[in-house]
Amino acid sequence: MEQWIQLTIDGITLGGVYAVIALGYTLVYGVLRMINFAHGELFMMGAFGGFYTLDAFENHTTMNDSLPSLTIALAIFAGMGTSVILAILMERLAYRPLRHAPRLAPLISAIGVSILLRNLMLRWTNARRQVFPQVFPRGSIEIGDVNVTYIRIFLVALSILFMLLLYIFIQRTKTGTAIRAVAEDRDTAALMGIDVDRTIVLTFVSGAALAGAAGVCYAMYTTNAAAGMGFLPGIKAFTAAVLGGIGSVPGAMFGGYFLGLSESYSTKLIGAQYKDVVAFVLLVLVLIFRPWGFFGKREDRRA
Amino acid sequence: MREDAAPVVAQSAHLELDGVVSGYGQIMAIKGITLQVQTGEIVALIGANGAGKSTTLRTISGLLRPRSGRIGFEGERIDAVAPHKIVSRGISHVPEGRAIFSRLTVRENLEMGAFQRTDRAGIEADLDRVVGIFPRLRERLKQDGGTLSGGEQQMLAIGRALMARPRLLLMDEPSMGLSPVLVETIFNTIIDINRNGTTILLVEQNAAMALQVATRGYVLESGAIALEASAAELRASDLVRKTYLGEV
Amino acid sequence: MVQQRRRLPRSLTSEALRERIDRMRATSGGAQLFRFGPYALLPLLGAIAALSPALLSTRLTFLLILIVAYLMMRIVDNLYGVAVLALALALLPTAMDGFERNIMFNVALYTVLGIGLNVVVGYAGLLDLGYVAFFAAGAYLYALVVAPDAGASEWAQNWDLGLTFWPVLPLALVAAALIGVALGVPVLRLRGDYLAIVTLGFGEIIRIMANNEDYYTSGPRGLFLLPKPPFFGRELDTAQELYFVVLVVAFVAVFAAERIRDSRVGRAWEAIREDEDVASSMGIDTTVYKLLAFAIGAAIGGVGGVIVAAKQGSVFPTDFNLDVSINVLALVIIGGMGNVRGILLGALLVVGLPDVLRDFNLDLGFVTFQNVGADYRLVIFGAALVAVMVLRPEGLLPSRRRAAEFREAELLEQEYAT
Repeated sequence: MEQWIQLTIDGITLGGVYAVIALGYTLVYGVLRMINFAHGELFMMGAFGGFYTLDAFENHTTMNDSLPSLTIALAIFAGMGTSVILAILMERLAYRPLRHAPRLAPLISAIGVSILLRNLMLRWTNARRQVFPQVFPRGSIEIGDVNVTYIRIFLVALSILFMLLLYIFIQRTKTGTAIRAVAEDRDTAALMGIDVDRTIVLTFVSGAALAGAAGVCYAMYTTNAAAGMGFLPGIKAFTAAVLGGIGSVPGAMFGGYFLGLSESYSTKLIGAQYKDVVAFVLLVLVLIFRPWGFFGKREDRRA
Repeated sequence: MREDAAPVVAQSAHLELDGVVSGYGQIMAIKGITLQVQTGEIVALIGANGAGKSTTLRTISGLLRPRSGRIGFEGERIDAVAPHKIVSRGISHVPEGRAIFSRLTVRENLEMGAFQRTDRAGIEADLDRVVGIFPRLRERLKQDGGTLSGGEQQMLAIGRALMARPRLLLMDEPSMGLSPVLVETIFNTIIDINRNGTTILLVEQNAAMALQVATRGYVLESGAIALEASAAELRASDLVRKTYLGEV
Repeated sequence: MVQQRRRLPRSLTSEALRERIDRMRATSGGAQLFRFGPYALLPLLGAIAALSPALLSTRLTFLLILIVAYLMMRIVDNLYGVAVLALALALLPTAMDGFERNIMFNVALYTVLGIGLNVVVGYAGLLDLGYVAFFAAGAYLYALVVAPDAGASEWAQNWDLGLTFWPVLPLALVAAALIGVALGVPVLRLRGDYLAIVTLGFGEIIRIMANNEDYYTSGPRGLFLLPKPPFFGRELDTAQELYFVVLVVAFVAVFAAERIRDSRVGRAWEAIREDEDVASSMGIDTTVYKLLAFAIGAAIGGVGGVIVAAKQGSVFPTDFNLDVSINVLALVIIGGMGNVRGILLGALLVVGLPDVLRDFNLDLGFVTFQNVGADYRLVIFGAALVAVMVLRPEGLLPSRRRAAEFREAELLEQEYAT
């Protein structure tokens, strides 16, 4: 029984990370009908932004010991900033020129951006994992017979907080409403006086900020950052977005947790070595039987 | 709102198209259109399906960039201005087929109409004014736009355009798909909007209705102006009666 | 909504555009003038190859060959130009050292893979990111059915099928085609971007399975000591001999692919690529034709796998990571989708050039990039994919048809201010 509780906690932790990344896929898909293949790399670059910040504090100050909450917060902001700047660049240079090109073009361009960023970091780090300074307080609390580390609680709480913030941004603010309007009908949105290009950039920025923050937190949790760390979480988060119905914000959240839990339980039921296969199998099953996901609106799949 | 709201010919035209050529890809749907709309007028643009009426409106509002020709509004060229900036210059466009944001609530749709404005109080006041004009929208403010009936959607589309406080309103087929009673209502509203000082360029297939409310009209045939006259003259012309009013 | 409006004018303009392009081609006369160009270039190529070891560094030789090959491909527009190229390619290794022959082998092998993937991506317009799956299937098939040695898997030891290279080739062709259909059936209804990510998933699943399985694949320990292809009583085991094998396979693949493209099947693919809905409304059974593309592409990939397993004499799960799929995709796209010449050029640039520049150091004064070819190749491919899409989406050597499609989209783009 304890084992199942432990697996559930694992799944929720991981699911939160997937959900936060998935929101970026879903937002960008919503406005551009395009899968940003490089989104997983934004997550990875965010982790490095956080890593270099914490590393600098570690090497030049004692603030990691005296004020860990401040340096962690700064690391998260640095990660968000890194991802946001990259997202703006990639939208401007790799995607915007292809907005009216055949569908395959932006997709291939996105794959190119993904390969570029991943391998650039691979070279930059000499293909070595970068170990995070131990900043986050160790320790755990006992829930029944199950041990839950602080960092895990932090991760779960933060992912929920970010999702709530995003939800409020999309549903309650004027800019968020504009994003939804652009997602539905770009031309009519322009007729309302909405700057469509700017709104699309803002969409990328929102998704990137979430991915960057998730990257830093996830890397702190696993205690290291590596160039390849965005690949699998990227694909899994995409799966999460599809599970929930791509384009749907609540769907992405649901999909993230659903996938996190499925993956976690599968390590017990099928075997840990096949846990990465679970996401793909779920993805294929959903795409075949319910391509609009659990929350998405059923629409023309070729739209 | 404006002093010169009366339908008289002003010194310089409110909206002026001069030899505008525009369209999609290789196909130029309009091939050199010259027309003027004076301040305070309702001008009808009538013509058959595919004559280039919608293309004309989409070119004015910046969704299409003219291949050649000039578009002037209140004395300034606007043919290279981005669509969202055209709105801030005072032109609103009620698109063909209404184009309601179906997943936004009615209230959000209206707020999007006022996207460029920052005067919260003014926006609220205008929202009240719009639901005053269209009381059926008031009950449905919290509903998704997609749940409205065709007539309600048309009201919302017009209301949404008014939220930007336009000085020129472009309307594309407001009568499309509506029952005769609703068409009557909508056209009465159009007259009211015009009386309150908004100049209107009206694209219609329902030439009879359009020429009843318009001061002047243009007949568009295969992308060019075939006829230009006062509404009364157009109603009396043989061409219009035969081709567009269905009389023999 | 936006898409719908675009669809109509697009189909209307494409004809006009194609007419214009054909007219331009007809009046330019350039193609006529250079008709015999390739034959003139052949002795030049021979001279470079013959003189090079004495006169020039080998790297420079390769670059020159690349330039000549590029010029030839620019000018030659038909199958028999490709034949001239074949002859040149066949002569090349005689003037090369072992390292360079290995490069040529890889170029030829990736040309085969490129032709296979091109059937799927270039002809039928289906973006497949898991092409490595078929490559792996061919390689593992070879390792399983040939005469087992100490490095064979338990299954191979038990069954001891003892086949040789030559019968395995057609076997792999059929097996990979079947796998292609099996993987294709569930995903064919998917839209382009979904298809891409699902096929990527398939590629990864195959690798993970091979890594975790033991009875058939020996897991991460891999399968090794595999026999070389027999040839009239001896074994083909030098890079040069195997290069000729793969060259022959490449030309058979080119020939087959071009024939199919120009057939009814090819036209059906073209219709599907341009607009699937329209294609199916014209009575084209899109499912059948898409599966056919998958099967043919997979078959060619499977053959490539057999060849590489035979050459290496070993098969490891790590041979089949995502990078293989990316390399093949990059060469197809950079060279020019839907076009054999483009793929040859793509293979030279994507597979050959990085190896030639393996230990090339780029010194920019303030920063030095070491081992550009070995370490930065994927960085460069990534950037190249973006650059090609943005600047020249039809690739360096596109098929005319493909160029028209992309240009037309660009023309449309100019109309849109938003």
